[in-house]
Amino acid sequence: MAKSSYLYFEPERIEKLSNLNLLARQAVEGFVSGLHRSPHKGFSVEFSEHREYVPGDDIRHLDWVAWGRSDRCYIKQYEQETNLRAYVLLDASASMNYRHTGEVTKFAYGCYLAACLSYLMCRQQDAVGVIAFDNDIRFHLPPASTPAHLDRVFRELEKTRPGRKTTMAPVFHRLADTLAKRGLVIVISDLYDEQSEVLKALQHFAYRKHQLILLHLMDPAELTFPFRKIFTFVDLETDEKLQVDPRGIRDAYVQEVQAFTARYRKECSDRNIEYVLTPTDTPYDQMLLTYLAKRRALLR
Amino acid sequence: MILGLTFATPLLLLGLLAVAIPPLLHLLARARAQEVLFPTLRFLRASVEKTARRRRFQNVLLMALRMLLLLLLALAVAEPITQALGSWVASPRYAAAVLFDNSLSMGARQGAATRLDRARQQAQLLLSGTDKPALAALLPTNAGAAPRELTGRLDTLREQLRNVPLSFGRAPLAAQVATALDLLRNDTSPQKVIYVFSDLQRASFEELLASDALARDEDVHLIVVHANDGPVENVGLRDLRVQGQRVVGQTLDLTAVLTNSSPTDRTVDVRLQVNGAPVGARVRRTLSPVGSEGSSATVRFRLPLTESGPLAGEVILEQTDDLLPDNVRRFALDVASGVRALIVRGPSRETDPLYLAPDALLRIALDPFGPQRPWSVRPQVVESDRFDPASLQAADIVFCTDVPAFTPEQADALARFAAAGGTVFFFLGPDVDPANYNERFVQAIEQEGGLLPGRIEAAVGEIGPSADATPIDWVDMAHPYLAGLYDSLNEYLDVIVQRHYRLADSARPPRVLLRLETGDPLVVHKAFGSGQVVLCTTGASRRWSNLPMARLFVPLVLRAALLSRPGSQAPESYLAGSPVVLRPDLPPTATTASLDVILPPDDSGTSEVVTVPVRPSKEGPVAAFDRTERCGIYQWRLGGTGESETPVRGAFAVNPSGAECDLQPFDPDAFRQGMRNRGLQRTYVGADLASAHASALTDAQGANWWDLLLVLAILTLVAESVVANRLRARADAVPAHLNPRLRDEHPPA
Repeated sequence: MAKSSYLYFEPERIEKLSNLNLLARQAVEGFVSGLHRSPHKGFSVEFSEHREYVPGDDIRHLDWVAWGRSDRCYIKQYEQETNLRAYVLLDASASMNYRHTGEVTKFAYGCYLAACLSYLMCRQQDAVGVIAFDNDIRFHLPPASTPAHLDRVFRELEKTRPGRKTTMAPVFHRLADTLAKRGLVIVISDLYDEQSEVLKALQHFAYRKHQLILLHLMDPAELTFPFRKIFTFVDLETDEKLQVDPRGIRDAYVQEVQAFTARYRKECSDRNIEYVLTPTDTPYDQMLLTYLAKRRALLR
Repeated sequence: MILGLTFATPLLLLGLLAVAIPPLLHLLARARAQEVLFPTLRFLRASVEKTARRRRFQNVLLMALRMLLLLLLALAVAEPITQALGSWVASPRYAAAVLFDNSLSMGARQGAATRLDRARQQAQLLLSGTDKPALAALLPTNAGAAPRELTGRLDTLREQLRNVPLSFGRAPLAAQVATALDLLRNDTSPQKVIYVFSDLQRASFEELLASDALARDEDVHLIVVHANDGPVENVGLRDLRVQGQRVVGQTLDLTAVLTNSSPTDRTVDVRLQVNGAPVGARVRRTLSPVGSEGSSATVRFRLPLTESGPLAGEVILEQTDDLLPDNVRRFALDVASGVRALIVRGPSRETDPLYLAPDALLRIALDPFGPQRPWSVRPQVVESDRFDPASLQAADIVFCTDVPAFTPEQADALARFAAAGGTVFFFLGPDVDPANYNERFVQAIEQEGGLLPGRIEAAVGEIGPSADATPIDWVDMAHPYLAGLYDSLNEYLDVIVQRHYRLADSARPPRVLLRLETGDPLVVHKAFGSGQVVLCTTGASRRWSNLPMARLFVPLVLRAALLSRPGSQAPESYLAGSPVVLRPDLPPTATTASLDVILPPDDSGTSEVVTVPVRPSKEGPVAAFDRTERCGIYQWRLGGTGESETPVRGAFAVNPSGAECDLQPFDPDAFRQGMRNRGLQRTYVGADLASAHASALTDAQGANWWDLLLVLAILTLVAESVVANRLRARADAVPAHLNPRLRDEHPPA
């Protein structure tokens, strides 16, 4: 595969994962299956594009003419035929602009994930929309599955810089009201907002019949707090300062963080939201592979 | 001392300042905390609030523990000692010999007290403190033959110590240390110490440094407590020399030596006073500071002797200073009246010129001015054939010049005259009969091998203008008759002789004053009884030699005459504490007589009289007097008469030790190092008893490498902490992208 000209899209890292497409498809098909049981089944008559047949596709959509011409099986796809509307909600607040000793910030890591997921879903003909937010919506790309859309997604991600304070609950409420129902919502964030408010907002999505996946990004330094000497810590979002001797509070800090993530894990589980704690020192492709494999196993 | 503790290394208590290190580091770390970006403070704030109480307690506890650790380390390296200081000898029972320096230099006043006062106070501390010895002996350095023994009655020693007076003598430290060692050697105490309470005066301690006594007793400790308290201002009269013949008509040369012990230049005025009246003008001298060139100077006075009899004088330094006794130096002399010289001459030819007469040149040499002018020597001339032995009673010296022969009576009279203290001077001219001389003076007189220094043999050599002459090649320049005349031997060698008598070898060789190139003696001298015999192997005329015309002839015969006065050579002064031998002019049989010695007045003006017995001796009646502790003029008179108006017969002066006026002290460290260089390791010096004990205590414990190692360990720990902190700081170094000040230049990704 040719080298990509996109910042957050690395085909070689995706391509080297064998069966990722299949695995992704299967995983997404789970959503599709769920959606098929919904009242919104059927295809649009507006032809969109061909794609190669893979076992399991409905042979009713096989393009026999193309088969006759090229002796290859193609499935005809139409604009309204996409089963899934997926929304990737990427946190672009200032707190995401952090890395300790790792190579990428949480925001960059989130961008890689968003690009990768978008590519995978577009590749399996699912519509994917990308929304970046902090205390407001920074950009909003409605779901589509065309290569041109994918190109727009990549370009928007590259242009976006994290900067402002996070206030995700109002944003989520607004999106929950406006996004089409019964979609797949993937939230990529460090979730640094009032926890109960965030959970309420997530509950709003669930109420609107969306299926939610919460990818909680944390830098390893945030999880383990490896500092040793006295520092004056400066809040990335508010510029507040606090002098701390790390040796005296490390255990308490780790306990606080664990309680924070544990509450998300439990509340998400209660609301049928998939919660994935994602340290940014794990390669994103590895993380996705592991996650999707696990998900596939659960859905079988 | 802290809580009853003393410290072997109190200097290391400075380490207590290290207690301040933990709080300082804490404050510094807080002040220098670096800023670092972090996504959110919510967890930090919660953690801080949750742990605040526990952390505060832990921090305080940790800091207190660290400060306590440093406190204990500082105390540990300073080596706290709870045992009594005096028990440094590791035994509650130890014997001490206390040498108390009461020499003159201890009288130097420094501030309100003298060195003696300070030393006495420190010695009292030793004898009365809790660390006092079990047995002790008090040995004042200048106490004569005081009883010396170790005793447990320290209260008695304290009383004795209170009464030790200042002496005017020099401290015989080496001898006293030897005495102390003898005392301690006989004692069975497990530990033995010699304490010296002194002023570390260089003169005395250099002597102690050179002594071998201590090296033989290596188990004895020597502790020196010096009473110096800074420099003193003092100029002293170190010495006074009196030169010249103590005979009426002569002039004495008095040379006084001044020494400055002050750290600054000093200008002083010096004057001479005789019998209470000033003589001549005062002399001013400026002396450089002690230790530099010019810190000593000499002052000369001339004193003409116009009267015979006792004479007492003093050289006085007029300016006052910190040590007064050395500002005056006294002398006492017995000035003899004119010397009575008798010239017995041989026959002379009427046609001979004056210079060939046997007595003419001799008479001129003895009395160069004649009767017109007062002079010390009045010679009388008598023909040899008219020589009456009775005339010797009125003579101090007799010159026999070219006397052909002596009768037995004359010879016997001359022998008795010499034995009684008179001087007989022979000149052997051409008319002398050697056989008669040998018979009368050698064979007939058994005392001391005869009156002559040797048997006279035949005359040798020819006379006349064409005859050979023999020069002299050696002169005894140290003999009182010839000393100090000229600077070099060559200046004496202007005597040539054509004819002389030879002397046979004698079992008792005489002292040769002049010697011919041939090896034959020209002038010889021997003591005979209390008197002197001088023999010249050639004549006193110009007939056989040029001796009467030579430059040494006049002083030779004149000095022989001046020195012939009995008693005129007694010392002009004695040092304090020295014994004095008095020689009263009494008949040899006066064994029951005594002398009354009148001591100089004391501070209250009272003069004590001490009676000393007269005893016979080979040199006549003598009286030994040893109570010369006080400086001044002592007078003496015949005692036992019961009359206080008995006339004074003599006087002598007693002066302080000249060395004592040099107050320059030994550097304590240099002295200790010097003793150690000699192998005397157990020598300790301190400015007071406590510091000397502390020094001894440290040393008694041997070289304490533990201290050094402990200090090194602490330094290593500190270094390790610094290095670890630096490495940790490097590890914790804030990347540029997390530095709030650099976030714009270094975006995180």
